[in-house]
Amino acid sequence: MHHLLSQQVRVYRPDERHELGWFQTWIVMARNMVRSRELIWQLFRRDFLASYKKSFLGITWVFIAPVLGILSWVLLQQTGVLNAGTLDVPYPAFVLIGTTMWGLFMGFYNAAQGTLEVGKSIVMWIHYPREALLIKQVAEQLANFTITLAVTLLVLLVFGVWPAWQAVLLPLVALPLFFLGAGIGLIGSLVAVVAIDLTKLANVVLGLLMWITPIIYADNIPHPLLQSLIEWNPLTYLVCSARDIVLYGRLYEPTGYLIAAGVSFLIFMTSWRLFFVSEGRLTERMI
Amino acid sequence: MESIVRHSANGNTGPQQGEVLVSVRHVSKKFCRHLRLSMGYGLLELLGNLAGLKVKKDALRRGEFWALNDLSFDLRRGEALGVLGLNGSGKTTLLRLLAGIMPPDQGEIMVRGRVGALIAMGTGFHPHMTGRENIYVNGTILGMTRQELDAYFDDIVDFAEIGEFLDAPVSTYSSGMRARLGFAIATTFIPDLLLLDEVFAVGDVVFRQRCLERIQQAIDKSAVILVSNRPEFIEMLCNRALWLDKGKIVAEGDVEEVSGRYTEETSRHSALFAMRSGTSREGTGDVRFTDPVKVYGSASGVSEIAIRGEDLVVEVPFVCNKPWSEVRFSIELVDLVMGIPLTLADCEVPEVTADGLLRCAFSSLPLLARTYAIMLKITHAETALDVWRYAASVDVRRASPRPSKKVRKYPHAITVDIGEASYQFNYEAGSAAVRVA
Repeated sequence: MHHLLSQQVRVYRPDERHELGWFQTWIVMARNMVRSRELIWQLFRRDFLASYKKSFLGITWVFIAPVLGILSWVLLQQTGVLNAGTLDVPYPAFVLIGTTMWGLFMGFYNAAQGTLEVGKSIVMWIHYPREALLIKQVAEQLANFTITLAVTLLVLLVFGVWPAWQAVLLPLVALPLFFLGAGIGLIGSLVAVVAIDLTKLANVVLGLLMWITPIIYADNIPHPLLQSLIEWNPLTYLVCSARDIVLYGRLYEPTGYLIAAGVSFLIFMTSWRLFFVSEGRLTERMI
Repeated sequence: MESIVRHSANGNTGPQQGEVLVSVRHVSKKFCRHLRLSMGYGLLELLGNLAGLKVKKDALRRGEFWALNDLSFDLRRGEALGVLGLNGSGKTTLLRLLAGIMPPDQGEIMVRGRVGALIAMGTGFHPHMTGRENIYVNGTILGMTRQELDAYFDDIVDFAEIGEFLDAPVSTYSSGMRARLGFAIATTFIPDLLLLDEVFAVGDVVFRQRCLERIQQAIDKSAVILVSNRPEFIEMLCNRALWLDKGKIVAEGDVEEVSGRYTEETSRHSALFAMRSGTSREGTGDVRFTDPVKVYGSASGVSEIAIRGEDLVVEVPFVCNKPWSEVRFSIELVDLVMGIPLTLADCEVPEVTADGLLRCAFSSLPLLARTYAIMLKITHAETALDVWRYAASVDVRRASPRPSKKVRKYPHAITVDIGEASYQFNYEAGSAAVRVA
């Protein structure tokens, strides 16, 4: 094992990553990820545990967040501040599962956006495949999401809502959320190194997108501007499909979903390539 | 940057003495002095990459400079290369390029085998995780497998001497402990190429000693690149040296030769600097040294140059403005690289009533090849009559014998002529003064 590794030859020269074609880029990155699975595991364990190690409440945070969230939405709806439109499931259940899926998207985005930043402490020390960091970030996000989802489903049962059996397809249905979130996030991660303001702006804009995604209200609110905004927002199809597969066992407008999924995939592949050719030259500016 | 990975033809033959492990060809790297501009260029490059353009890297843009300029060298297994240079000469940048942390702007670097790096000592640890957890994480980043880490775990802990702190968060460690742990992880499993940046800047004497031993072990099996601005460590450990100045290679080759030239050059600069700074003279001035201070090697007779091993003569007149009894004359040689007084010769005369001449001959001085400043003192008990720092300097040119670090006082003979009277003293190594006449 050692001798094999010891004969590994690395060549560093300017723009060598540009010399690889797009298709090769993805293969090399995928291979790097497989190679660094041990590293991914170690970093995941370290950061996932560390995030709970320093807090008194520890893992309880996972339960507190959705409960507080749900309370505030219900308060807004009950007081009539928020007009949620007509729904066929109890509002708390509707809003909880919707915001959970939105949280999944934002989680992917934030995870990817932090890819270079979390590696900062080791960036100036030795070379290692940065792709590993993305996977570690996403894995951490998924671990948190799994716990949140379990809590969410529990709450759904309390409201008498049984998830559809098609909910087992969620990992597949939510995949485009990963592509879009991580795709935008990876670019954000690169931009954050040289122009942190742009990344902050992107964070705000993405946060605002939630208001034109029908997750805290139904999509049947008769307002023409809101309707067209909802219609053109790809997250409408992606987030609502993830929600609806759990609630009703169906996709939210399959055609819209498929188009949005395709676009997300392209965005991800493009930003992956961009990340691949740019990270080396950008991380040197982090030192 | 790991994109082009291939296995060499002799993949199964194992480590071979003399195989080229590092090959650097016409490598240049530029940096930007201004943060804002640097960020701007970064953004431009990012947009360029998005559009699929290659950024031209040959020319310097506003605010940029060459941190490394057209470097070429090879390093083989069994070789230890010391990189010398003042701060900002590009030493650490070179290591970072070799470690693959940043890509070169021009040229090509080939690195064969596993790399262990210690750049920026004591970093890379997660402060909230324990020493044990950090060993596994950092070991993995360095490319070790779980099995290797399990096998070497005890060695790492032993070397780092973290003992009962093993399960405490690294944030509670002292800087020395962190440095030890970092060094232990990077070197316990000896890599093919070991990159070390100023490892001797931290840690105590014992740790330094063990680092030296560890590095010596590594040199037998791998190639080592050691960056330091302390030439004595490089002379001790390396068989080749590279002298960088403003990103360019000034000299490259035999360690004694390159290091000798480097120390001569830098110590001369620091000597001149010290002499120019006005604080070089103190004391009452009742008895005072005057020009001309003569320093020469007994054999060569050339002033201010001595060959290592030959006698060194210091001659300096003094004037007596007010008579004093029990006057002590002393001469110190100050090693300007280390900044410490190295050799002391002194004698005491019963009284000084007239002008005179002090003459001191050091026999077979085992000095290092560098510039020494000569510091002269005239004292009476606690009273300083004259303290003359940097009265003169002497360039010691290299010769064969290695200096002995044990002897503090070297054999010397002193003559003090005062008016008609003449005093002579002889000193054996380390012994007390013996007045001859």
